[in-house]
Amino acid sequence: MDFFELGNVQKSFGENHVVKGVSFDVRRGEVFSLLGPSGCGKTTILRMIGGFEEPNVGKIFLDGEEITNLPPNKRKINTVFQNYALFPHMSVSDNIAFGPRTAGVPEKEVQSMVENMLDIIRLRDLADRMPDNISGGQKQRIAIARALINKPKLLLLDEPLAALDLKLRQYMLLELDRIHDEVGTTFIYVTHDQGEAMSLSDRIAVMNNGKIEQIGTPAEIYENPKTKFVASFIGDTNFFEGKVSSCIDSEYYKIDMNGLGEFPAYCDKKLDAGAKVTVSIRPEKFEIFAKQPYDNLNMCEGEVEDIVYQGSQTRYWVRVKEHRINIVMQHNRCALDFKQPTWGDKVWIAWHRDDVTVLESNSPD
Amino acid sequence: MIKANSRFTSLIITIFVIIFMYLPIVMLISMSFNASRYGGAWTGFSLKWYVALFKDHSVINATMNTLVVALASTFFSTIIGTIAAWVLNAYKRSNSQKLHYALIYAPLVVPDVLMGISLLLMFVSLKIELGLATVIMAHITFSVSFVAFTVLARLQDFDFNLIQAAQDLGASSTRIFVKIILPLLLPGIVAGAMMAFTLSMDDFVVTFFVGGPGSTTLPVKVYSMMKHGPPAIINALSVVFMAVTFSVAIIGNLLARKKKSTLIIS
Repeated sequence: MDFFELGNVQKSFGENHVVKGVSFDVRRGEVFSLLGPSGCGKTTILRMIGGFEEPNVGKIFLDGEEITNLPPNKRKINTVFQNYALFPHMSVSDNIAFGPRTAGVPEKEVQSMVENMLDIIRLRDLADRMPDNISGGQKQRIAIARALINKPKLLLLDEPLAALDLKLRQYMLLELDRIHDEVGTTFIYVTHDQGEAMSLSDRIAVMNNGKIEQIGTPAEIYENPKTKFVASFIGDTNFFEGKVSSCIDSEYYKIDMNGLGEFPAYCDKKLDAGAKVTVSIRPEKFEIFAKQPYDNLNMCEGEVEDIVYQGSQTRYWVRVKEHRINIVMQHNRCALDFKQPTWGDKVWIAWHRDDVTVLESNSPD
Repeated sequence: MIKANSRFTSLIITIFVIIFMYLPIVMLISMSFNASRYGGAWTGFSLKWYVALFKDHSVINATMNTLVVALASTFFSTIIGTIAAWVLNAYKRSNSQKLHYALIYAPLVVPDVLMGISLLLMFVSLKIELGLATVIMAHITFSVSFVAFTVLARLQDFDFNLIQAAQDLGASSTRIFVKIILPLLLPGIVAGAMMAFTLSMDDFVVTFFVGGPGSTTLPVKVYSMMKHGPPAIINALSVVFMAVTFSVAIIGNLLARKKKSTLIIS
C-alpha cells in the first residue's frame, strides 16, 4: 500500500456531482499536484483529504490508516489555505505556535520550534508583527510555517500562490521548492496554473469535470497527453482531425490529416485502419523553412498569416488549406539561417513523426 | 467665491445644530446649580439641590434599581443576543431565515408603547407579580435585538476559514471558541452590551408599564418628581443620571477600541 491513497472517492452536493470516482496514490516525500480548471473538483478532493468534507463513497488512507471519517483535528494533515487564514488577533509567532500550543507542547519547546520555523521561512524579524502589517508573500510563508510546525505527514496546499502577483509567484515557487527540500514532507498541491504544477511537482493529476484525465510526471503529461483535454489544458497545441490510413509497423501509422495530406506518425497504441483520430502537434515541434527542406521530415507548404513577436520567441500562424497552424520559433541564428518570414510569405513547415500525439477520437473528452 | 460661501453656510448650519442639540443640556446643567427654586432667574450658585438629592432615599433606591435592571438585562441579553446572531449567521442560506430575521428585527421597530402594553398584558394574564423581575425581563426582550444586530454586523466580516484553519491545527470546538471566535467577536459583543446597558438605563415607557411597587427606576423617578417634587431637584437628578449614562458609554467605547487593537490572547 502506498503512503497515501484515495480510493474511488465520490462527492455530490445535492444534484451536483462534483467528484465522480477519483483514485490516486501519493508516495512519501512527493509533491503531487491536482491540476485542473476551476470547478473540476480538485478543491473538494483537497477538503475531503483535510477532513472538511466527507466523501459519499470511497476511502482515504494515510500511512496505512483509514482516515475517511476522521475530523480535521484528528488527522496528521495540515492545510495551507488559499487566503492564508492567519488569525488576525495573534502575532506572527503566536500564529505559528497555535498548533503546538493546542497539542500541549511545553512553552519552552514551542518557542524553539517557532524560531526554527521562522528560520526555515526566513522571516525571523517578523515574529512580533500582526498579520495585517505584512505582505501577501510573507503571509503565505507564515501560513506554511504554521502548518509545517505540526510535523504533518501530509501538507495540503490549496492554490497557495493564486493571490500573489507574477513576480512574487515565481519567487514563492522557488521558496516552496526549497522548503519542501528542507523538510521533506509530502505535499499535495492544488492549482489551476499549469506552470506552477509543472515546475513544482513530481507527479501531476490532471482533472476535468470531477474525474482524473491523466496522472504522470510533468514531462509525461506534456509530451504524451492521453486525452484531448490534457493536450489542450497543458500548454498550447494544434489539433488535426484525421483517420488512420494504414499501419506502417507496430509503432508507426500513416494518418490522413484532413487536407494536410498523409503523414507517418508515432503511436504506441494499437490502431485499426480507418479509425478516426485526433493528432496533436505542439507549436514548438514545427520548424519553418523558406525552401523545401531535404530532411526526412513530415512537411507541407503554407502561407504566413500572422506574426506575434514575444521577445524570447515569435509565434506564427501559418495557413495550410483550411488549417491555421500555430508555430513557435526561438530566436537564434543557429536555427534561423534565413531571413525571418514575414506576412504573406510562402513557407514550408516541417515536423518530426515522433513529435506528434495521436489521440483516439472516440476517447471521451 | 462659491467655496467661501458654502463654507460659511455649513458653518452656520453646524452652529445651529450644535445649539439645537446641546443648549437644552447646558441649560439643564446650569439650572441644577441655580439657587432659585423654580428656575428661570439665576439667583446664585448652589449645591443644595444635590445635597437634597443625595438625602432622598427614594432617589438612591431608584438609582440602585436602575443599575440592577441594567446590569441584569445586559448580562442576559448579551448572551442571548450573541447566540441569536451566531445562529442567524450560521443558517444564512436556510429558507426560514427571513422569518427568523424578522422575528429578531421586530422589537427594533415596534413602538415602545405597544411593547409596554403587550408585555403588561402578558405578565398580568400569566399572573406574574409586577416588580424588578418583570422590568428586567421586559428590558431583556428589547435589548436582545440590539445586541444581536451589533454582533451580526461583526460576524459579517468574520472569516470562517479561520475556524477551519484552527480545526486543521488540531483545536477542539472549545479551544476554537475561546481562542478564535470570542476574541474576534468581542468588540461586537462589547458594543452590543454597551447598547443594551444604555438602552436599559434610559428606558421609560416600557418600564412605566411593567414596573410595580419598589421597582421604580431613575427615568420613572424623574417623571414622577416632575409631577410632585420640587423642580430644581429634578435638574440635579437629571445631571447625575446623564453623567452616569455618559460615563458608561464613554468607558464602553474606550474598552471596545482597546480590545480591537491590542487584544492578544495566546
